[in-house]
Amino acid sequence: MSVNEITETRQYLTFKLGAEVFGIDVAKVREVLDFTTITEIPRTPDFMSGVINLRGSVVPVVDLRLCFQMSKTERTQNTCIVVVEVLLEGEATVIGALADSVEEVLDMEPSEIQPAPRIGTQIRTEFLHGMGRRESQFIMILDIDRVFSAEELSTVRSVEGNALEASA
Amino acid sequence: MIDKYKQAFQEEAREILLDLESALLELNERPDDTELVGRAFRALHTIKGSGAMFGFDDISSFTHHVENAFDEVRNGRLKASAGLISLALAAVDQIKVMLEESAGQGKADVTATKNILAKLRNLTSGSDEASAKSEPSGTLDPMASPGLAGHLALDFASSKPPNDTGIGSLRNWKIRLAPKFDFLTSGANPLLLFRELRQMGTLQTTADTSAIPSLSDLDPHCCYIAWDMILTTTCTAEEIKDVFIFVEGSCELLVEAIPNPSPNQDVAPPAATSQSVLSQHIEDSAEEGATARSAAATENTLSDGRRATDRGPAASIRVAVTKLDQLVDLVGQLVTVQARLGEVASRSENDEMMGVVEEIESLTAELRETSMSMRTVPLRSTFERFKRLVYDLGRSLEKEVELTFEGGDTELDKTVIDQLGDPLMHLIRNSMDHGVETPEVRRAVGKRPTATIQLSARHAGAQVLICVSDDGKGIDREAVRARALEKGLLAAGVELTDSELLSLILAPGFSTAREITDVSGRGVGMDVVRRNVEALRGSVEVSSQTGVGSQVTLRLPLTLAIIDGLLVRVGPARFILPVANTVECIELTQQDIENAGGKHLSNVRGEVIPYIRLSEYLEIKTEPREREQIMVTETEHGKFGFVVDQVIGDHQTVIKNLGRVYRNIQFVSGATILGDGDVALILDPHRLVQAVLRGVTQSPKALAQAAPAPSPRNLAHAAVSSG
Repeated sequence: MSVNEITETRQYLTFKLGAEVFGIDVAKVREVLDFTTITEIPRTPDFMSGVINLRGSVVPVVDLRLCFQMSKTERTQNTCIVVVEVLLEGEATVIGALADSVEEVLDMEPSEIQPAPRIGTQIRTEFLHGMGRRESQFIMILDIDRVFSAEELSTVRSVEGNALEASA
Repeated sequence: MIDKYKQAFQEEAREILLDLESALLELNERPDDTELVGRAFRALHTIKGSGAMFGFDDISSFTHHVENAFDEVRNGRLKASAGLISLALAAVDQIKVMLEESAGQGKADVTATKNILAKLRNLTSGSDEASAKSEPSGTLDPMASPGLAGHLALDFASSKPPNDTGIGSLRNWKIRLAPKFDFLTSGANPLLLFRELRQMGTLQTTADTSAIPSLSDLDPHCCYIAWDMILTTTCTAEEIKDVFIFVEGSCELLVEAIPNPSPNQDVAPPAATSQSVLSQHIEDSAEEGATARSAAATENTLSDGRRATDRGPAASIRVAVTKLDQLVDLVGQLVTVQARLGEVASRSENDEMMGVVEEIESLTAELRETSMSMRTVPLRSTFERFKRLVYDLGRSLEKEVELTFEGGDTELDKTVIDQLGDPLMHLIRNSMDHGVETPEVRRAVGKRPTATIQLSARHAGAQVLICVSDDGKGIDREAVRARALEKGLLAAGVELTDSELLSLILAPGFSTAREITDVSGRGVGMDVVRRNVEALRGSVEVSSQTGVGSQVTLRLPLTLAIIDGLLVRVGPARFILPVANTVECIELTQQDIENAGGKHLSNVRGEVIPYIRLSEYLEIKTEPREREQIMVTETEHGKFGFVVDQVIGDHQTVIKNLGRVYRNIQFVSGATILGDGDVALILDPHRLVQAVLRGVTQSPKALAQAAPAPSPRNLAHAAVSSG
């Protein structure tokens, strides 16, 4: 299931982490993959799951659940890898994000999206573009560039010195 | 079409300029070396000639004046003075700017052009004023641009140096000979006409092939070619017309004098017309060949003739780098598929199939070697580029520095070489600015007043070591320490080993020079060096001896694409170790471990070799095994063993970049895709050992602090995930 073609900016791909529904601007999404073998990279933090073979290129995969302080992703039939393209230090970088299940692509008017509340979410507000609402369901619209920003992945980069402390 | 040629000209011109620059700089040291003068002259001549051919008239006419000056030098009428060389270097820069302009980048400064020309005129005044004023746009030289010929151009006079025609009453005549269709059938032979004209003076011929019809419409008895000629002679129009007296009826003839006579027979060539095999045939290719070769011979009278073979058209062809990249990419994919095929075949247990698979395997390996070697180029030209930098910096810093090279023949992947320019430039600037002393200081401490900076390259296993060393004052360790403390790169009271202290200069934001000079000292240089080199999966080492000099070594992988690897297994995980560093594989039994008293030491035929358990360092859970394997590997810290569960076998490893996210994972040099589609990491033995040694000596985290500290969020998850 590829959503490459869709570039309409007000469309969001929604997916679930546990019971929470998240949305990513489809313009950022390259494709959605079924779960595949992830090669772990030793001495890196747990939220960096490892790398996968994406048609011959090696793509890093991040466990979003661990990023958002949930438990580690358990593999089920619905587990997917959402492949996104983010700007990392000014360079377009392809990263996979683990999702418990992918839901749908939603059209949302700007008026349907509210600023994220400061309290009441597990997610730090700077990771969110806002909160969308569909019927009784809240959708957390992720600022995926921010989630995968250089500082947030910095533990990976300085892992030589800090991996032990970070995972201790 | 023409754009393609123009682009090729621009590329070639840049290369020639580099060569010219190095010739000029060498000439500065040996002003009497006629071979160097010849080299400079030829380079200028080529730029002028091919420039005019492709319509770069401004470049061509500008170069013409510089060329004239060097012709004077060649004829012994002018000395290759420092002034002339400095002017010629300025001219080289100006030509570069003009090239950029023609490529649509930047704007050439016309006044700069004029200034250079005016100064040149002062230098060369007297002997050749007339030519300095002439407005040439190109002597066509068939040898000047073997790969570029867009139309046929024959310089029948090239056995005679252009400026030797200093006798009066020479005139240039423009002659157009346009045969009618019955020209050949009436018994006329254009070659005889040319020969006769040539006896009258200097002849330049261009064939106009535009009238040649397609092959199906072509009548072999007809002559479709017209010729435009420039004749420089003392003869009159009548005498010229007499040559054509027998063919008058079967051709259109035009003979006219060219105004503003110049001693040079330069003239704008007619618009380029397409090349034609047929025209070449008619013009008696054998004779042309001879003429062309004699031209080349003249060009090389001052050299040892070696360059004539260098420029041989069949010796090499120009291929776009993107095409090579594509080839390597395809070979990479082929290697991956071949690995998969091998795996499938070994499962099928079909002997016949295995035979074929093995054949494909060896072919793939050969193909891989060949395609890789096509991308490697010697470092020499990269090195030589820096002569100019050293020359310029030496003048502005008032330091005398000699740049020497060693191992310029060492070949390296073109991609790597392209990325090396900046780091090397920073290192040389740094040496010039901070390392090397002024001649006075050097004399005072008893050193030779001229300092030496050496660029050297050599192979070491699957890596290439490139060193920039100087015999300057060395790195002031106390200044480094003080600066690091001041910049917060180092905590007070921390003890560092010497190499750790020195490597602080590679940290971002570090610079010991108090004043920012335009040479170096913005505190970005060394950091940039480290980043660029690490982006190439290389590393930087610094060593220095106070008063004797400093040395910076760049350790770079030979190739960025495919290596020979050994596939090993540690627990459930598979890794690749590069074969190039591996010495041998030995068994490690429980008994051996007991014999060593639990220490990580193995005894290989009496030699004690320390080993690293990959499962321990990489934190991989493994089942205890009776027998394990030690891969003995040569590293810069001596021989080290890596303990793995099992050595699976050889693996042609296509290196895939792990990307920015994992950029700083030191012990991994990349990843590869195995036959079954899984990803395996390629371990870097040097860095593994380095990391382990660092862990043993419990060195402070000062260097790690260069990278941002972990954010609280990440520490938070770590706590959550482990809790």
